[in-house]
Amino acid sequence: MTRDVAKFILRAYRVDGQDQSDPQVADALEMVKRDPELARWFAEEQALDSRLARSFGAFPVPQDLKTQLLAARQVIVVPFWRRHPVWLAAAAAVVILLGIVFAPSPWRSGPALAEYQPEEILRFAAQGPHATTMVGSLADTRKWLATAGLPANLELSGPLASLRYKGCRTVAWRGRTVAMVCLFDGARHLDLFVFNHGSTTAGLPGEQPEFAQVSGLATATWTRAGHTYLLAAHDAVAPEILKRYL
Amino acid sequence: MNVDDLDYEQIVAVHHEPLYRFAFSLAGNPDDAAELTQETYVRLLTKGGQLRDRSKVKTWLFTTLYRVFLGWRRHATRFPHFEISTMEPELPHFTPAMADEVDGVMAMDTALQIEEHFRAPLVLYYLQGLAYKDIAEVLDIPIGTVMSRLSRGKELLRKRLCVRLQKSAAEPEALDQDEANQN
Repeated sequence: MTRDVAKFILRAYRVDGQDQSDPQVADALEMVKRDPELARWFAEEQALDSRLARSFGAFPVPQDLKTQLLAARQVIVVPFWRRHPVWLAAAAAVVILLGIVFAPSPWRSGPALAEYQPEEILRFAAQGPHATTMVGSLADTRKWLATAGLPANLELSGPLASLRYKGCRTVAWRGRTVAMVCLFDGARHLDLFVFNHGSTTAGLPGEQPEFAQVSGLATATWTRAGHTYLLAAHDAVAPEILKRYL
Repeated sequence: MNVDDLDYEQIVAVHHEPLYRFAFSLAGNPDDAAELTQETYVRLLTKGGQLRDRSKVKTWLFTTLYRVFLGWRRHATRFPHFEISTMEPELPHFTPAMADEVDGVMAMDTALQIEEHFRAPLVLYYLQGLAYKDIAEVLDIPIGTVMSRLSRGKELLRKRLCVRLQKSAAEPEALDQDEANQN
């Protein structure tokens, strides 16, 4: 082993000595004992590393982060089919999109189309919790919808499908089961509600998205392949901003 | 192992700070760092069943956070990509005395100027004292690559810190000169 090889290995050696039993490191440490110049280099290397480790360890962490991590667990409702508790802190802080998926046909005794009132649905976005199950992707969301007995064949635009899917829940609205999905685009939280509108379409949006400010929320609503979608942003933006997702 | 068997509070208490710091070193801002940390704990709660060996919690958390970050980055342009010049100026030798002047913010800020493939193993090494074999597992790269990146990453970090310290030392002089010129 050359001195340079020993240095290369020892640069990965941790200052707390935990790597002494590593065969490669042990050989390099043996060489340190025999080579005074290498020993001087190694001593300085260790001195630098211990100081820099201390510096990195002093980088400030938000004081409330631990509280959020612990408290968030308490607000998550654990679905009975999943024994694992889930956490929902981020979702509780924001809101965004609405999508309502209506229940299977035997349950489709929902409101007449003229009774469709988006502000009633949006109320769920304001009340929270925004999710009872955390998900990590659209695929997870589809699985959850299927598990919950809801239609999973959502037809979403590319931008909407590529958002980060954070959590789901169902809400009961006028006798219907509606899916609510919490999304995040990296800067904005959205809620998506999806529901099956049944056999009639009067009073519901068409295939072209309609944009509006409802109950202080920017919303977009549209109907596609038997489902009506309601997307909402909660950060006081103009409704047209939602075009980027559709 | 079921996540119910894990002492969630204990895991939060022990690991949330180094996880946040690692997240910050990847994302470069506090909001995304906090969200990456939160998302990691969400996955512990929802997918903790994948964790068979309790002694692997630390590695699992760092691995998960890094994968979440990579997933986000594929869909977003919010994470800045830092380029470092390959032309390094002639710098003084970085000594332990100089390292004593480096606080946490300066260390992190300087690390953020280093390319991510050097930065990630470097921060894992310094932050949580992860062994190079564990770093290889977290980042899913060969052990030899980890050692190579650690070696080069340390060199880059020290050079950048030298530059920072030189600038810090020079700024008061520049200010004095400005004042003298005004008078």
